[in-house]
Amino acid sequence: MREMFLTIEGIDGCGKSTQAQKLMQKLLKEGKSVVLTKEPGGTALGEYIRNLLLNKDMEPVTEFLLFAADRKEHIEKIIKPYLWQGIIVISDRFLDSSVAYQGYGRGVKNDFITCVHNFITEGLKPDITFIIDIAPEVGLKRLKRFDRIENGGIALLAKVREGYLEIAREEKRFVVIKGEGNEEEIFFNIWDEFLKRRKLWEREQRAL
Amino acid sequence: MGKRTTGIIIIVVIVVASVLLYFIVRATISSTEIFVDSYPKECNVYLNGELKGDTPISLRGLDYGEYLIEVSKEGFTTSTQSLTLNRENPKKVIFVTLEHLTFTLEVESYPSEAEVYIDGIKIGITPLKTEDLLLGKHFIEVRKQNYTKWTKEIEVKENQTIKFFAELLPSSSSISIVSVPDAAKVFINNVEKGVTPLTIENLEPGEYELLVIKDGYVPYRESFTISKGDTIKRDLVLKKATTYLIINSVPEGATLYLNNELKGKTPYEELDLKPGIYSLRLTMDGYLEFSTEIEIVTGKISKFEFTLLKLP
Repeated sequence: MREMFLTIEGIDGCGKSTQAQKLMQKLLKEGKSVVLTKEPGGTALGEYIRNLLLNKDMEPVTEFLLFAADRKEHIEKIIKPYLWQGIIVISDRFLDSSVAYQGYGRGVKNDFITCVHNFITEGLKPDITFIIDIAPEVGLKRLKRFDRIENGGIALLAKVREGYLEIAREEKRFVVIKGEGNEEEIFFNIWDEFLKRRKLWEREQRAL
Repeated sequence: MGKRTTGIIIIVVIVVASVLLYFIVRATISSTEIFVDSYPKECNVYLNGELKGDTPISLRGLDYGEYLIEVSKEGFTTSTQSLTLNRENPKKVIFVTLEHLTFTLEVESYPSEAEVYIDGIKIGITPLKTEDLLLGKHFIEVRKQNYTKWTKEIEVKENQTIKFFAELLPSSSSISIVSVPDAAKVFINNVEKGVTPLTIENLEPGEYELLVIKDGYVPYRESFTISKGDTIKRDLVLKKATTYLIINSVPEGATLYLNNELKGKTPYEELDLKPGIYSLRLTMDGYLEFSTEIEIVTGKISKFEFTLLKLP
């Protein structure tokens, strides 16, 4: 039986990676088997793509297609195989990063992104997507290092944040978590929401 | 049945039960497993601080209890996870994705605005700072048109900032000529240099006359000036000519008549004259007038050179 697929999203510096780690540790303690993975660059081919993404002069659509190529590898080589072995998969960034960053942030048409995603996911969607929401100023302050995408600065991050909040209203799988408290508090909210949704999910699975 | 028999039976039951219990416990423990996999593969796996092998790895026959699992690899962050094996959860699968350790690279150049390539991928333009490069070996190239490439191989083993200053030297001046059709003769300042496609390197800065000719095609002429480090490229499509006449004389500067019509002074060329026989006359002060007949043929260069006789 397939296990739950969880993704964590948010603007740079929101603390996604820390929370993803915490979630993995908690699930392991609860007796679950867990896969923690990330985008971009969770596969060998993804590494090449990650390096290409370092190019600072790239059309937004090109950037999206590179992320999409990485995503396809990631889905087929890591996410699907483990999910179908009955192992919980947590991905630090997934589909919604492209919608927010390349779509809302850099103006790639949403229809196009959705179309490509439908094609590469073949229906696979996260069961829960946690969006850790913080103000861009806070995110930038927290970042020790700026990478390519972060170079867009506050204006870009503000657009990306708006994007996340907008898509969060469209589907039930999203949970928006306030990201400006301390790590433990934020994690408590994530875990609380996870447990609630886990129960519903288990009931649905039994019904299937 | 006496007390003794009862005692024996109790002892037998206890022994049998203990043996059974022993095997049951053994069986459950041997069915315990922690399977550890990672991206990247072949990371070291430590179980409670003891190196067990590389990922992917299956650790079996563990007692119930708490375990600390550490996954590490050179050039990557280390992941530490604790987990518990018990009757309800005798098996665990863990997959961790290790983050790359990175370093910062700063490249400046003179002149600036040169392209920076890392391992063949264009990263940006100088001055450049990039903070997301992976530890390990890298090949850096700084390129700018008309300058020689600057290259450097580096091996970075720890998170640090590496700075380079690339002083770019002007490359030698050259001209590259490609033509359709190819195999056209190339003359620079009237000296034959070869046939297209052709690159002539190490030209001194200055002015040059370029001539590209091929039988049956209109010659291409151009004066060009080349400065230090310039690379001039010409991609020529030669036009078909029906006829092409070239007349020269020794010495040059003789007056030329074709069919008694004044044409000009030698060296003289004309395109697309009607094919046929022409009467040619060359006159020059101090030299004997020269007359002859020439034939201009379609699709050929009709090239003639005449030596005039000096009058006593």
